Amino acid sequence: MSRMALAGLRWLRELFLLILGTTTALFFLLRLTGDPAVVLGGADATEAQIQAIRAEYGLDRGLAVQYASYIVSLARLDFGRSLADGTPALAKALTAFPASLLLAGLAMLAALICAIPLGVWLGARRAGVARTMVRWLVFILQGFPGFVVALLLVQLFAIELTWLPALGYAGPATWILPTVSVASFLAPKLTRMIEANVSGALDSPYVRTARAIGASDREVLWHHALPNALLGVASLVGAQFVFIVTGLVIIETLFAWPGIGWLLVQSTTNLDFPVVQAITLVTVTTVFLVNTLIEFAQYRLDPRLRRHGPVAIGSHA
Amino acid sequence: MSAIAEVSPASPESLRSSNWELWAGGVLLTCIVVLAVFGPAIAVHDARFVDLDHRFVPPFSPGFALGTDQLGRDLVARILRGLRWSFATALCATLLASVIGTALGLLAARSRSLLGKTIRQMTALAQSFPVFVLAISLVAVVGNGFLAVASILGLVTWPVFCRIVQAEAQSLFAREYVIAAEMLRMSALRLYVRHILPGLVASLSVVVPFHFADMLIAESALSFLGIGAPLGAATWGNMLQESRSYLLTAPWLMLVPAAAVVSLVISANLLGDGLRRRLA
Repeated sequence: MSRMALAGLRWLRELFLLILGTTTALFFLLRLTGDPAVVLGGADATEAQIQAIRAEYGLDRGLAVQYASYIVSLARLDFGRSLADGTPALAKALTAFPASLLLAGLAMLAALICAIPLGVWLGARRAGVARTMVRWLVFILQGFPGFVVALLLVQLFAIELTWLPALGYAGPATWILPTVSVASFLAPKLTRMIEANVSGALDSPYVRTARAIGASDREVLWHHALPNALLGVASLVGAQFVFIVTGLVIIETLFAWPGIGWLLVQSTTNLDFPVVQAITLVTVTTVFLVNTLIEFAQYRLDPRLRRHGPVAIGSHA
Repeated sequence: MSAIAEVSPASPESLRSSNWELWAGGVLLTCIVVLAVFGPAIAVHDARFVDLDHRFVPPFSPGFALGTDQLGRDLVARILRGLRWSFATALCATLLASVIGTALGLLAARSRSLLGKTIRQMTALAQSFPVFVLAISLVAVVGNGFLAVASILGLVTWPVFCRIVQAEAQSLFAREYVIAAEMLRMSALRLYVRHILPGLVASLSVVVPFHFADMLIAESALSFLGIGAPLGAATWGNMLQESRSYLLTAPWLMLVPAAAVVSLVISANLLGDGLRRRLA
C-alpha cells in the first residue's frame, strides 16, 4: 500500500475515534446525570407523559441496548429531531453553518491582516521605545476576553456614536463588530507567535550565513527570514482555529448572529439535546477537517516536512 | 510544545524586566486574593441587598464607590462577591486539570500499554478539539453551580497539562541521574517523588498562571451566556449579561465588571510571563 493511502487510513481512524469518543462521552453523561425522560418532559409533565416519552425514545430498554441503537442511528447520520420544533437535528445544525463559516473566515482574515505585519515588525526590529510600547499594547489587549471587547465595541460604536448596528445579521454593516470581536481573540496571540517565529528565524544559522556572505538587512528579512517564519503561520492558523470556534459561540450569542454558536447556546438553554449533540459533532468534525487541510498544505509547501515526516513548526500554545 | 521551549537566553535587560513582571504579577495577585478572602466581610453593603431608593447611582458617589445597579445593589460588594466566585472556580478548575493532566502525562510518558497509547492519542486529538463547545454541552447536561462548572472546566482541559508533562517526563527519563537511579533499583514511588516530580515543577508553574487566566475567561464567558452560574448570583459574567439592558443609561454597570475581569486576567498573564522568563 502506498504511503498516501496509509496516511489516509490513519486519518480516517483518528476521525472515527474522535467522533466515537465524543458521542460516547455525551451519551453516558446524559444518562448518568438524570433521567432524560424527565428532562425532555419538562417541569409539569405527568407520570403518564413521562412513560410515553420513555417508550417513544426507547428509554425503557437496557443501557447497552440504548447505546447500541444510538450508535447505529448515528452511523446513519440520524441525530433525532429537535425537541423545540421537530425538525431533524442535523439539518438544523447545518442550516446555521454558513453564517458561522462567514464570521470565522472574516475574523481569521482580519486577525491575519493585523497580526502578520505587526508580528514581523516586532520580531525584526531591535529594542526601542516604539517596540516596547507596541509589545505592551499587545500584552494588554491579550488580557481582554473577546466578549468584553464586544461589549466595549457595542458601547462605543453602536450606543455612543451610533455608527454601526448593535446586533443582527443583515449586510456588511452588521458584520464589522462581530468580526472585530472574534479577531480580537486571536490577533494578540498570533502577533506574539509570529514575533517569536521571525526573531527566531533571524537568529538562525542560515541567516547568519546569508549576512556573512553580504546580504543586506532588507534582503535577509524578505528573502531569508520571512518565507521561513511565515511557513509556520500556517500551523498557527490551525492551532488557533479552535479558539475561533470558542469565540464564535460567545460572539454569535452576543450579536444574535444566527450561526452554530448561537444555536448551541439556544439549544443548551432549551435542553434541546439532539441539536446540542449534532452541533458538537459538526464542530468537532469541522475543526478536525480544517486542521487536516492545513497540515496537508504545509506538507506541500515545506520540503523539510516531506523528508523528515511531520514536525511541529512553531506549534506552541 | 509551548513557547516555554523557545525563549531566547536572558540578557541583563530582559532579566531586569522579568523580575519586574514577576513582582508586579505576584503583588497584584496577592492583593486580589486578599480582596477575595476578606472583601465580602469588609464591604459596607451586602451584595444582595436591594435598595430601590438608590438605583443607578453613578460611580464615585458618596457611600457607593462604584455605583449601584438597576436594583440599587452596591457594585463594590457585588464585584467582591463575583471575584470570590470567579477566583475559586478558576483555581479549582486549574488544580483539577493539572492533577489529572500530570498523573496521566506521567503514565503516558512511560507506559507502553493500551492505556498509555490511548492517553497519547487523546492528548494529540485534544489539541484540535473545541473544548468550550464540549464544556457548554456538559454544563447543559450536568447543570450549573460552582462544583459543576469547576469540575467540567477541569475535566475538559487536562490535556493541556498532560501534553507538557508527557514531553518533559520523557526527557527526564532519558537523563543520566534517572537512569542511574533506575539501575540502582530505586522504587518507582521514590523515583517519581525524588527525581521526576521536582523536574516538572518549573514547567508546570509556568503553565498554571496562563491556564488560570484561560479558566477565568471561560468561567465568566459561561456565566455571561447564562449557563455557568445560577441566574441572579453576583458573578462577573452575570453582571456583564445584566448590564446589556442598560448600556445606554448606565454604562458603568458594564465597565466595572469588565475592568475587573481584564485586571485579573492581566495579573495572571503578568505572573505567567515573569515565571516563564525566570524559570525556563
